[in-house]
Amino acid sequence: FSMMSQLRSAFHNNVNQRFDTRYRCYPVAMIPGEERPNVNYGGKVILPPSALEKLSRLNVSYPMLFDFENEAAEKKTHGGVLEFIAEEGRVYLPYWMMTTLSLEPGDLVRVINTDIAQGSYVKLQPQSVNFLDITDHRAVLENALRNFSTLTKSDIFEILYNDQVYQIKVIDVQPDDSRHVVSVVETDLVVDFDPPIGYEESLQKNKQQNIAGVQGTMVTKIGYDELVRQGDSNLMKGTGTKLNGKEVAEVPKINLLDVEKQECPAPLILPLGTYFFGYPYKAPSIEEDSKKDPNLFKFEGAGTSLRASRKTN
Amino acid sequence: MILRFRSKRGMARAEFQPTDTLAMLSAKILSDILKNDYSPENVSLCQNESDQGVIFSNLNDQTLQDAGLTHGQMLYLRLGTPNSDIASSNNEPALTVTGAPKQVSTPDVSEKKPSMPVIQDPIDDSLEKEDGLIRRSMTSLCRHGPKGMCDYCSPLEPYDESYRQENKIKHLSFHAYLRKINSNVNKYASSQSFIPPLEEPSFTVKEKCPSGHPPWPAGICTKCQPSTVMLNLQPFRVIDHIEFASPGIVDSFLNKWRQSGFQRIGYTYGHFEQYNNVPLGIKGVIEAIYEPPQVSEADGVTLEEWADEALVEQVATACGLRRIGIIFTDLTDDGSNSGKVLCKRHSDSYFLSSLEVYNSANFQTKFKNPCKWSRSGYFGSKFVTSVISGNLNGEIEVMSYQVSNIGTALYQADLIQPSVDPDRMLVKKEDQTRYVPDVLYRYTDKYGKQVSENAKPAFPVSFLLVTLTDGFPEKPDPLFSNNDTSIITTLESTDETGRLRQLAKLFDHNAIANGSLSNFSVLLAIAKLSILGKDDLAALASYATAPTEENEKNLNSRESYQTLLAILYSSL
Repeated sequence: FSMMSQLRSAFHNNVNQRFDTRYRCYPVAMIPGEERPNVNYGGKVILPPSALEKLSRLNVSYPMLFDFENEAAEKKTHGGVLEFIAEEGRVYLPYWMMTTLSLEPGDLVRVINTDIAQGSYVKLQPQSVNFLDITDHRAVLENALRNFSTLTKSDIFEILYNDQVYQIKVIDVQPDDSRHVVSVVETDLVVDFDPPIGYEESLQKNKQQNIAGVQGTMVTKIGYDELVRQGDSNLMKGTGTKLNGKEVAEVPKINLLDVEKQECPAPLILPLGTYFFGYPYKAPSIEEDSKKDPNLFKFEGAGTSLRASRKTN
Repeated sequence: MILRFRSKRGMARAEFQPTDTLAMLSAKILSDILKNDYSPENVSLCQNESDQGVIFSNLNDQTLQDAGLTHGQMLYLRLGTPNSDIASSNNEPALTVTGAPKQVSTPDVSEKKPSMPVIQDPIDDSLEKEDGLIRRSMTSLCRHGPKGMCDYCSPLEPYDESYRQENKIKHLSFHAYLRKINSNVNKYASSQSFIPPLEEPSFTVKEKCPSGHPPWPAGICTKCQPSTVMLNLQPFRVIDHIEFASPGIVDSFLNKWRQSGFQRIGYTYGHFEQYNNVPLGIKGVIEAIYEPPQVSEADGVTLEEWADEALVEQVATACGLRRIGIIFTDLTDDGSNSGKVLCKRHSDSYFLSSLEVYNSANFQTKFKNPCKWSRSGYFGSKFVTSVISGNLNGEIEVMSYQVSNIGTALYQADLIQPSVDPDRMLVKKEDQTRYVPDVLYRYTDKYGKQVSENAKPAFPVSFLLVTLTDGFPEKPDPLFSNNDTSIITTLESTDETGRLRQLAKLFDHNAIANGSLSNFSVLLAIAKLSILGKDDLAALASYATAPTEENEKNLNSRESYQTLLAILYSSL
């Protein structure tokens, strides 16, 4: 009986007992051994073996998920665990996680085992326009999110693709509870995007170009595009061949702004009294912005020469 | 006895007997002294230098003694045209009076002066009377009293280079430039031996080449072929500044674009005044914009046949206005819904496209500037091209330009052609009808060095441009209180009676006091009825712009005006 009660109490204790430990944190770049980029661009940490021992004694649900808390700054994020190979008393965190928690290497981080609901929907916002350069966002994201267990609202995480780091912010998660976090392990997730930061401006610019280039009836009436094409062009010309021996159809595509590069543009012969404004639009360079900025840092200095110059002005 | 003879061929002496006759004397002179170069009709014998003397052929058989000639006496021979010249020119009977021999070597001044007296614009005449000196106040370097003057504070010439640069005046004013050129050529304000200081450039092959070869294209020589064209910044501008008498003029012109998004073009009417911000400057004050028949498009505009040109000019003259230039919009909304427009014309693209420069050169050739300081009687043009487009901040702005004299000369010689690249003008190729001289342009390259480059086949349009400043007056005092041009469209859309009724409403006494007639378009509509004569129009114009009692009295006394009123009131 006593054994039973002991067992029960142990069991009982285990149920109530949580994994709640403080470790000194270090970025994953400081793991001894080979560099592991997929760890740095993921949502999983590396804990010491003792943590595994402790966790295995507890009745934890799988996958193991944790709260990471910087108590001093009162900042929280969440994540999973990748391996238990860290030195005792240490935890290795991806760099973006340390930034999110505003931790310095060697600071204390509180790691608490927790349960997190499966996510059904996330909304992400890339932090720069160059994310749009990726052709297949879906595949890239799918691949990158494999390294993540959780997504926390308003975190900015990093992914690596093609030697390029993309920062992505989590705008919204569903279901959204007080902790604003969902688990993304083995779940069907609807992913939505906000336009990247700076996208509006580039959109505006494109729109302007379209306005100036497309609108207008005189352009077609006088056949401006055709005239530009007639001009003598010193653009690179040539044909290509496919490996299978077929000819590549040459596409005579001339960017209208290239008219500037033509050595001898075609004449524009119109009757007197005709005014045409449909030239390709060229935006003014934004030079004066840099001129206006007085804080703009510039290298300055004076050179000296050992021998005084004989030339006098 | 020995007699001495003085002539323009030098001194000579000959021995005679006192009993020889004068006829013998003349024969001896002709053969011995003048070597038979002259016929007796062209030589006369004079007692002294001043008198007319007697022609040899009239000399009689009087003896020398009887004629009172003594030993050693000096006589004068007045020589006319030598035989060789008479033979070559085969002219009319030789001159009988040799008193005033023809001076061949003296330059013929009358040929260089324009044959007709040049009537200049009044503004040019009044500016010529100004001294144009730039007054300076006393400086710290002056060591004299308040009424003294020294090198540091004496007034500067209007064309002073350092003053121009300090005040960031891009071009000299035309009259300042004229002073500068004229001070090198003539003594200014002295009419003796006047050489016209200005010459309009011409790049055509000279006709009637004096060196006697077959005319071009069969032959050409250095005398008749046009010299190399060097394109560079024109140092002067005929007009310095364009001023819109009130912002409403531009605003009502823009309304058409605002409503339709289509570009508009119009002729500007106004007058010229002295512009005081520049020494001896001229400003064009625009009082009205008239929109001639045109086809508007979003990306262009085409002028059409203008049947009313004479009438519009007549009304403008009646109002004391003249055509100053042309104005057109090149506006594209930037799509931001903030009322801003695209900045299309800037230093990286172009200011005036090659096509517009070509058109303006045509206008400037049509509207030449009469100038008595020029060999041809004309110099440059006062025709100004204004563009309404977006500036760097996306705001709507007016920019005004003229084509340089070299530009118009290139156009006249048919040497240039616009290209699809707005920033470049093409030089035409030489053929049977056109001789193309070398065209070079000079610019400062990235190393800060002056470089000359061949302008064939294309060169930057900016080398043909002269930039004007423009603005609005601080205290607007426009001639017309109303600039609404929409009345023309309203009038044209109705029938004859409706039109009269519309106009009659404007002739209400109170309405006139509020300036209902003070509108170029309204005056034009009245003139179109062709009831009023030229003088009546002028009277109406002065009454419309300034409804004073005196003007009203003047107008009411006119018969045709009463007819007009009667017709208008009958329509009500």
